Amino acid sequence: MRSLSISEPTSRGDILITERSDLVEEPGGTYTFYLGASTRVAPHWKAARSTEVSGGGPLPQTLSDTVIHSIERLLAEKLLKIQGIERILIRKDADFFRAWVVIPDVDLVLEDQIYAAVLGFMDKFPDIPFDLAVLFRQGKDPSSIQPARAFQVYP
Amino acid sequence: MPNFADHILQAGHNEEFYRATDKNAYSDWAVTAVYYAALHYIDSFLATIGMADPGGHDVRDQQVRERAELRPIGYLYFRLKSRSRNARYYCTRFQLAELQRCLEGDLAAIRNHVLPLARP
Repeated sequence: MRSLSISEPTSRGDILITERSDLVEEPGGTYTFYLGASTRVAPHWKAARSTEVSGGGPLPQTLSDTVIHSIERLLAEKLLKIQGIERILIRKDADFFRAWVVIPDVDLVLEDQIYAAVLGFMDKFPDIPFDLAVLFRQGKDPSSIQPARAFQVYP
Repeated sequence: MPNFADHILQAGHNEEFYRATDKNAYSDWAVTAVYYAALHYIDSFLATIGMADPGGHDVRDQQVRERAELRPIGYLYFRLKSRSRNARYYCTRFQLAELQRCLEGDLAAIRNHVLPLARP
């Protein structure tokens, strides 16, 4: 855990005032995770796109462009190693992350792989409240499964 | 506030509801009864460690994920929770064989794991 004080654009017209962050080592890189509130405090074009960690020295990681981006990227990377997942959707409510993973139908082997991956992911970020739902499409149109305000990470 | 015994009774009550339900017509509520039986077995354990009321699914889920006593049955609990959510919010229906597996497999494993831990 490392405390930072930064402002970073989260979407057009918003910047993030972070409260704290985690640096997490993963195969393939170091990821930065921010918890905080997205607050409309400055026009998009005025918001800084990067920051420096106090103490100087080169940053060991690339700061993500958005709050969700780093979470979604790592979670998607983990899940996409599993064959059979049709869609992944994510929504962030304040500091609460919700993920929906859509699979064709009940499949214990596939489900267990998903739970193993997501529970392992949650272990790395115990401070982030996280909710996972594995949804069974059962012949329905994939696009009909679209929780409000969730955005699609995959495909 | 429900205590250990109350939660055990409620878990059994929900299992009875499952058995009384027409599972061909109401597989959605049948699987939800199984899930809420599992939830009360989890809560029976939490009641014995001073958490009489988790106050919400997010807190209970976190306990299931993080407590060493509950982790071994975490994936069973979350599997049931997802089935109930599919049934309630996404109009999913389940085959009788899957309902029975949920009852005799996942729920039985949760009950057998939690009861020895939770008995005050």
